[in-house]
Amino acid sequence: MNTGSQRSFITCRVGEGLVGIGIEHVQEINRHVDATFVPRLEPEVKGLINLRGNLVTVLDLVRILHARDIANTHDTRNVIVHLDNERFGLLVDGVGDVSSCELADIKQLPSHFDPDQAMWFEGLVQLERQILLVLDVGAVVRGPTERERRT
Amino acid sequence: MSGDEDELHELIGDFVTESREHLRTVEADLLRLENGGSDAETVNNVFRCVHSVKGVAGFLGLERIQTLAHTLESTLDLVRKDRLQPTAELISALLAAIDVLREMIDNVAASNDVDITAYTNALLAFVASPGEVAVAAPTPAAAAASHAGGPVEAGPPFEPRGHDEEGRPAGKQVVANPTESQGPDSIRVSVPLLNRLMTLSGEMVLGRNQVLQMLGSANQAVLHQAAANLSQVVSEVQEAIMQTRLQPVGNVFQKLPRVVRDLTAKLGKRCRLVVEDKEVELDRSILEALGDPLTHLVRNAIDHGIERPERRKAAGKSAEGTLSLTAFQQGGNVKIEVRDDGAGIDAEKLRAKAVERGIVAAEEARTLSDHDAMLLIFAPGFSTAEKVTDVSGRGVGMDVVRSNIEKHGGNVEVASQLGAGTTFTITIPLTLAIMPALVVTCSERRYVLPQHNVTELVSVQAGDQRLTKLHGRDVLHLRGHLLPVVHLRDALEVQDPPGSRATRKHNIMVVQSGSLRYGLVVDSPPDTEEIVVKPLGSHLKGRNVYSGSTILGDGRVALILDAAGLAERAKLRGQDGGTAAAVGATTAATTGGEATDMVLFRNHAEELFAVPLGLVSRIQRLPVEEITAIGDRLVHRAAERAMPLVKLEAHVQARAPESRGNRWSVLVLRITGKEFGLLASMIEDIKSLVVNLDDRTLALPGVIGSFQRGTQTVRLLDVAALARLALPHLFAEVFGGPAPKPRTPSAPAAGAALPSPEARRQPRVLFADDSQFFRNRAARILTDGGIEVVTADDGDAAWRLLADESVQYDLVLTDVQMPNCDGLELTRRIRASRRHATLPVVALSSLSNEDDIAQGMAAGVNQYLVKLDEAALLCAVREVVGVQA
Repeated sequence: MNTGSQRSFITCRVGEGLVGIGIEHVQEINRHVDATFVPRLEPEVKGLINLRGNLVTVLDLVRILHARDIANTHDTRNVIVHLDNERFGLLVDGVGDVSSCELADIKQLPSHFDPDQAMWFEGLVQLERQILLVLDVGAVVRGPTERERRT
Repeated sequence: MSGDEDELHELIGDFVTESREHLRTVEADLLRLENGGSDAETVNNVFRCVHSVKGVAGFLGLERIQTLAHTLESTLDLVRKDRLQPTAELISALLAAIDVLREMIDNVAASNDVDITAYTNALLAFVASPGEVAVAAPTPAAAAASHAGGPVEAGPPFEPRGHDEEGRPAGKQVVANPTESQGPDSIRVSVPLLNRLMTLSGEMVLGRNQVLQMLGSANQAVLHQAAANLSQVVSEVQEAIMQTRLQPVGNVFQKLPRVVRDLTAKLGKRCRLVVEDKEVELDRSILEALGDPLTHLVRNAIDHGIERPERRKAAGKSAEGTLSLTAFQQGGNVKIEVRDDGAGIDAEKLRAKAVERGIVAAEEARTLSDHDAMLLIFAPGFSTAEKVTDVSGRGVGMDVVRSNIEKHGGNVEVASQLGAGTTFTITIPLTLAIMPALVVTCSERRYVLPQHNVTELVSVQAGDQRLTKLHGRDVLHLRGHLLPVVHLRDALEVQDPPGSRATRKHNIMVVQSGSLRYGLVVDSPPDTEEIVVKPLGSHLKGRNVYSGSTILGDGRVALILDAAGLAERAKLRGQDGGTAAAVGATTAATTGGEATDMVLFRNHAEELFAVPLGLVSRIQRLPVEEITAIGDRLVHRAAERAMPLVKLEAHVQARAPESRGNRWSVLVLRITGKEFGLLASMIEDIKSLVVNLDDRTLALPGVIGSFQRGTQTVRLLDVAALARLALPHLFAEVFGGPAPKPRTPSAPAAGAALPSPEARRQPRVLFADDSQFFRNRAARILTDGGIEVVTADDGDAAWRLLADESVQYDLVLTDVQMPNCDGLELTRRIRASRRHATLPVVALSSLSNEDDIAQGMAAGVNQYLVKLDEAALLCAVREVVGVQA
């Protein structure tokens, strides 16, 4: 859990990058990747799954961040997050450890960062060997509706 | 926030909850007091309630509440001691004060700013002069005015709570039932029920453990036993949890006595309210939704239904009207009847009003049965109030009542007898949580449609005539009605999975949503399943094709389709103005009378024409490149055959269209097996119409006559004549002459036309039709063709003519739908008689779907023809009677 000045993230592989999902949002991680397709929705909405009697909307994080469909492999995971009393599944290419860092270590994205990408992240954390991009869960989950409103 | 403030807030919260609880019973008690059906305990109860409100309010420093409660208390004390009589005036003043008290309690923070003097003064007037009852209670309007601008606005007390009044902030709406007003976050559940749930959940844990243990050992028999137990427990849990949501219907009736009392007083009417219910329970969400519609129905009944006492007496009824509310359970539904013994609904007035308001066209209104006319009151924009009063006629009408009820899967019906009263019946499912549904597949995925939306299932083989294309869209012929057809696959915009084979059979669900009816084509015949409705996530909301989702028996998610949204979707995708809704609504409107399906189209934008649908084999849009002009003739060159095209304006007095664009609409007409195309600049509609034809004013070669549709004049085309005029080389031989003879107004006399001796060798046809127009018309065609015609205006008349042994007939030509004795009955009589058993019978009908034809054949009809196809008629008659052209 987050204690005072610390934050913890689930590290997820999404395409080539490493993405951190704030542990406070995450309810569980499972292999429930076979969602019921819903016609006439945005391509990043994979459909619905039944999570013990609750319906969860599943979003393809690879599609959202990298504009291509996720390849379903043995490592593919569904990260169940909750936001405003609603639950969502985020499909990722793989799940790694939980990383913790001091709040002060979360840096702003560099100004040259692609703005189309920047809208999905809160900031970044320099890990020992890699960079962890901190996912803005709200933007990802509300994103499609926001963008729809704009067009 | 300091601890003291916290404590104060908590105390005030307790006070509000407790006071609401107290005031809940007060209203009913006061009404009972007024009706004299009370005992000392009733007054005491009211007194105690007000007293405890006063006590706590004083402690909390809520001065105004305390003052008002105190005044109420003193007044009630006098009543309790029999020093003040509970007259209607006193009760009115008490009720008005209680209303304000309740509103102040609902908005405690602002209660000290409310001006209550009008209420206290009114009560004090009674206290000051006990025994005198002449003191007027404050009128609701005056009382409201006295604290206008205050934070709490009291509408006239008879206003149903929750109805939107302008200026009344939504947050301050007062709900009459205090248990409901605590919001959807808490409900009362009886302790025994809760205990039962606890026990059951214990059983479930036990069951789970058993199953888990057995997973290793896998003894099938024991596993089955455990599964059966678990299943039983789960069903019980489900039932018990449902029960927690059920509340007595009586709760929603509670506020109605007050509504009745205030409204009758205001309108100077007298009405007794009889409530029978109590035992019936409904899901609380449904119950909440019922409140407003029920109040509306009750107000309507008193405002429009129950007459004034003097009129009731004049009509031989008791001066006091009776309004009864009955709730009872029937299967999985609860029915609530609102019955009054008032004036009833005048179907004639409804028709006139509906026409005036432009809700239906005049000719449609005439064809509506009384029952169907009653349903007009549910149409949007309809209000029968002769003048707009503040009681009714504010634009919130019966259509809102109906849509509120339908939103919850119920429906409302009306039955009325003029002079005797009106009954509204609301049917609503017991619970929303579980509903019967149909599971269908589309592109190998499953979707769910609520069963109450589906009226029937039709299975149509490929090539079946019932499923045809009209106006570029699929339509289904169903027992004389034309239903627009929506393909689920198109509405959802899904592709067929690769490798799927084309189906030879179409499964069509006839879907009803409000007044909308259409056919929905799905891939498989539906399965029924009881489903639990789950809300949609934020990504799926606002798509209007889905109304919810559910989890099917195998644990997979399926979407629930929204019947109205699908239709809407299909309309948007349509290529033209003829929407699914329009076709559906108009075909549904004409059920009575003998309707003819007509294609209405325009050539010039301001001129409307009609062609009987029976003569239209299809409607096409042809690219202009495929049309060749040869001299003054137009031809469409399709794959192998050339089809002649006819411009209306070249042969009939009609204006030419301003421009046709580069795709021309063509009505392909078929007579005597030959096709030709009639150019139309715009297809207006396909409608089933009962036509009141004027065959004189506008009749010309090519035009049979005209009829009115709304404000527009429609000319009905004489397709046979048009064919002869435009394409004499193709159609001349059928009629035995190059051009039609000019119309003669004199037609053969009906009924008693006796055969003249010299005509004895002519073939003689007996023609039965109730329409003078068709009699004249067919008689002229046949007489022109050298056939003698004797006409009869119904089956009975025809049967009498046949009974005359001195006259021989070669053929009976009969309309199918006639009064007294219809064409099928006539045919059966002919077949059953010894003398005429072998007489050929040809049936003519404007309805020609397969069911009709099958019925005709079963009755013994030799041939079945579409009315108005005169060339075919002449051919058929000649063939049967053996005359060559």
